[in-house]
Amino acid sequence: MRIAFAGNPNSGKTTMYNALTGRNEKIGNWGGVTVGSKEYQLKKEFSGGQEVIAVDLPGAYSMSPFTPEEGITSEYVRTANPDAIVNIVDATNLSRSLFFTTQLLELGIPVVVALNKTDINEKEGTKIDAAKLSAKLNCPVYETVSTENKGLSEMIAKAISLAGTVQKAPYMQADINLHDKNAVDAEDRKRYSFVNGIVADVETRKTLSTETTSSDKADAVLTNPIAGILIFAVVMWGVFWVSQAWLGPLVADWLVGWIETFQGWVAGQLENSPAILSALLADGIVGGVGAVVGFLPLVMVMYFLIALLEDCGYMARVSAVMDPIFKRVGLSGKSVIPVVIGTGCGIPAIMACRTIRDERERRATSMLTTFIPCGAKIPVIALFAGAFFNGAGWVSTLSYFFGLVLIFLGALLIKGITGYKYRKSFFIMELPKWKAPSLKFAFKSMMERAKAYIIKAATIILICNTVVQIMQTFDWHFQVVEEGAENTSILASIATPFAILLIPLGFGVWQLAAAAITGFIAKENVVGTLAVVYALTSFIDVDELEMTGGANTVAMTMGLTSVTALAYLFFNLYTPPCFAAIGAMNSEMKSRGWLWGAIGLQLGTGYTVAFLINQFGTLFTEGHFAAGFVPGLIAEICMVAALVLIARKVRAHFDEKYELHKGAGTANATV
Amino acid sequence: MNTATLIAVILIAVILFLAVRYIIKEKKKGNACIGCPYADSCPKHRHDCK
Amino acid sequence: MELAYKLSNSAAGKAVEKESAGTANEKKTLMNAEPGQTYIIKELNTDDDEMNSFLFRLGCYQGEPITLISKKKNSCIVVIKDGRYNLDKMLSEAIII
Repeated sequence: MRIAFAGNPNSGKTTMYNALTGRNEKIGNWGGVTVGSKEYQLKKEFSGGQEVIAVDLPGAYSMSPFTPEEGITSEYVRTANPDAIVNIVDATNLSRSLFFTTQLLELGIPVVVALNKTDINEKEGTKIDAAKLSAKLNCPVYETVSTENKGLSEMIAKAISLAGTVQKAPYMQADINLHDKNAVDAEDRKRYSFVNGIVADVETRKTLSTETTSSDKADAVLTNPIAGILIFAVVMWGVFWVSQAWLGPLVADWLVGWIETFQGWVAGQLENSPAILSALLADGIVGGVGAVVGFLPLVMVMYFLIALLEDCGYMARVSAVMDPIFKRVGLSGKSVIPVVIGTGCGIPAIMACRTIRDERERRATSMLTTFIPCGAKIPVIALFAGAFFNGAGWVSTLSYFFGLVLIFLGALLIKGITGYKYRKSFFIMELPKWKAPSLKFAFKSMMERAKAYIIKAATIILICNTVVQIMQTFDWHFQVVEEGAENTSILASIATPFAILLIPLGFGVWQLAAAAITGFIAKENVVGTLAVVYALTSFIDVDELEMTGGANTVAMTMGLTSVTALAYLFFNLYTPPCFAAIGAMNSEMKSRGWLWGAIGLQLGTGYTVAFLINQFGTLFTEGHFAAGFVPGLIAEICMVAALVLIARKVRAHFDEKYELHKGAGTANATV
Repeated sequence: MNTATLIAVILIAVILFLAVRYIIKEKKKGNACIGCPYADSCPKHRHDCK
Repeated sequence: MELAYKLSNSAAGKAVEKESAGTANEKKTLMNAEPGQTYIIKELNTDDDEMNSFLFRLGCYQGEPITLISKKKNSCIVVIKDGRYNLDKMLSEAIII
């Protein structure tokens, strides 16, 4: 049996779905969090022993989709024939929600209305007569609070019992020609009058929504173009500082201490065994994976804080205040949310782009959002900040800030290439009510993420490290490589050709090239691989403030200066993301051209940024350009030439399209 | 071969075996991105809904 | 200008208004409205059918009230049917009140 959860965006569907199924799907206090359908079996206590599957759908304001993810919902309820529909209605906005409700009631599928967020109504003094509403809608109505599990069991039990019955609609749309705009308009109006009538009858409010409240005053400040953006910068800086400069490293130090001790013990146990075993187990497995796991506290704290931010309702305000800036580069405020989600993981960020209506903006955002360092890149940032820059906080802040800058520049570039013609673009964002963020949910979300991190470390990263360790220990004849002759190992011979390409960037050594390559499987691998190829143990300052021998050793072993270290760091941060994220990009782009354009853009950006930092940094600190300046310059010129060619080609094609449309009489050309 | 070596070899074999087995099981389930908590809603794995 | 405003309340005026669509100078849009006041929507000038329908579904259509909560240079916050929304300048200028 399948029960679909449908309702307005941000009404509490996913929260209820999580409560009923025990899953932990992403929630957030803004409309557009859920962009795809998900299904799972109900927990036994709710399904009464039957096999009942709950289907969580993206939020929709009506059956006529405006954005792609709305289309998923309307298509599902129309064609997938669920046995029952639970219509989650935001009780604080009955007048709007019922529009969709009446449409759902027309489908003939039994509907149960869950009047959600009734706790907010209680606080504000809004009363809804559920019994009356139920009589008028001709379906059961239950008051629920999905964040507190109130009313869920009764509601879902009713839904299950109704499965298989036929719903009688309280209001049917007249049979009209759906292509006739005026007829559709007239019908929609009639529907709204019907809804208005019901609301007037069942709802009594103590405070009208139109009254300005203290929350409005706060919003006015937060959406103020100057103050709002400053506040956002401060908030984000705070998140990074707490997770990567204070609380995160605090816990991590302790954890790393244990891992180190363990690694030392393992190495000690294997003193009398073949060196390769020690290398494999102590350095490769414990050391490599340990290096990555050591950064787990930083990632966890960050996820916790981001979850709090997402839950309180701030995201929508951020989206609103950043809209004017994003408009200047050809995007819109809707692109802000994927960017913020991207500070956690790039994959949900790319999927969140589905809420962007304009196709070009959607594609642009999905390829640019990975410039913001994701959680997997945190270990890389922390490593380099610790080893080369005294653990300074500015490295992390700069990485994120520069990522944002690259997003803007990239957007401008895309705008220039695709010949963005003027087109009316509208931005409308619902500002949800402010809410005290749920510590419970943030904690749950953090633990989920931690679990995923550890699983990833114990599988992918473990295997990668092992493979790297083996490739590094043996040469092509499967003889163990001598000390000092590492260049003959399998790994060295594979990585060296790539390393040559990286000489202009300042890190043309096979070890670093190998680490960067493994980064495509998972960005954490950069840290893991470096730990293996350089046989390094501790990365994080075990002592409070000073650079310990550990950090110094790291710096010296890698043979990098501060300049080249920064270049290498940025190279890894701003190149194409891990394969998983590239896969998500592929699904969103739905076009080979755009996908390869995206990968090309990201490769080019990483290369260019590292090139510039290396060359001009070396010029600045040592008075001369670094090695490989000319070849690098040639590469850059080729890239620019390629861009110009692509731009010409795209624009010519676009003009063609535009001409065609002009002939047809429509001036709206959507790329 | 002393005990430590023996244990080490067995341990490495077991760890790798478990890791590889986990990945293969996940791939069979259709989860192409190991450890990714969003695998459920990833469009790569949805054949039924869009 | 005065005449245009006076006429807008009569049926004939509505015809005049429709003809002069596009010249926002003669009509009051959300951007010239006063924060804290509630207005009745007279027209939606978005030139985009889908956008119009979308706004409709939110409860923003001709004849319905809309309240302006705050106004900025490039955006404004309004209340439509118990929900708060942030609209950018272009959208605000397209809502005639």
